[in-house]
Amino acid sequence: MVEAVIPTPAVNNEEEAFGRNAGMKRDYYRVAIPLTDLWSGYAGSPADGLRIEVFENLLERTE
Amino acid sequence: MHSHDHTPITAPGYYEVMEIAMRELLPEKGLIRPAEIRRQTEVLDSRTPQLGAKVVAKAWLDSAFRARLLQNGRTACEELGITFYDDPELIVLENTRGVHNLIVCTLCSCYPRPVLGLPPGWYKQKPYRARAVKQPRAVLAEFGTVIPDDVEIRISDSTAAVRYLVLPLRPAGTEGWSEEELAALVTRDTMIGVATIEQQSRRIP
Repeated sequence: MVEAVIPTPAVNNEEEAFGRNAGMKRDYYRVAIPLTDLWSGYAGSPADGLRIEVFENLLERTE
Repeated sequence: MHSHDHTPITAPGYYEVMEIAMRELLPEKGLIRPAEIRRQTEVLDSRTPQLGAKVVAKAWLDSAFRARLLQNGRTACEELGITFYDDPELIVLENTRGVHNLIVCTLCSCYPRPVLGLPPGWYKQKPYRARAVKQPRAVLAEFGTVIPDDVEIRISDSTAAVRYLVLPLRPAGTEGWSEEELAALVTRDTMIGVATIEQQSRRIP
């Protein structure tokens, strides 16, 4: 689940690192993932979660 | 005693050679001057967790400042004269009775250096980086921090664009304390989230 858009748009590091110009800047999103979805048999509280920034090219629109 | 390192010296690997080449080429091509590297190292070394502690104490005392800090960590810290020398955003994560925040960089060692200084050794090492996102409660227990099951643990993994700072809970019994007295309670580990102030300082009157 996307919680927020990170304020400053950025170039795609993974493309730039290989010398491929990523062109226009895109957004990072702060995404919330329950730990029970990440790790089977997660022993802690089902409310525990991870927050991570994910670059726009790795996300798909749902709906 | 036998504590020195016996790791055999080996030829540098591909990425190490690339790093050395880059480090030598940048000054050679005039893109960075040696004095700029020296100055930046000096700035990095000048930062300590006391800066973050000042931010936390101010946020506890001044609710308008706290709101600005949670809205934009960077500009709020700049109000206190803390400068930022790089691009990442600073997101401040507020601990509440229901949520405990923990920060990690699973990729490397991203850390809110402008407000905390250099990260501790364990923060950069793989066991913490791997386990913080997988067994956070076990990791916290190893730091002597027990988070009740009805409190959500929220781990924030820094990658490229963001650094995080935890705003710890203000401990009970500190009403009327000055900003300096409050700041003295706030340690590095409470702003990473591996400790809580109440559990680490049982001696509060």
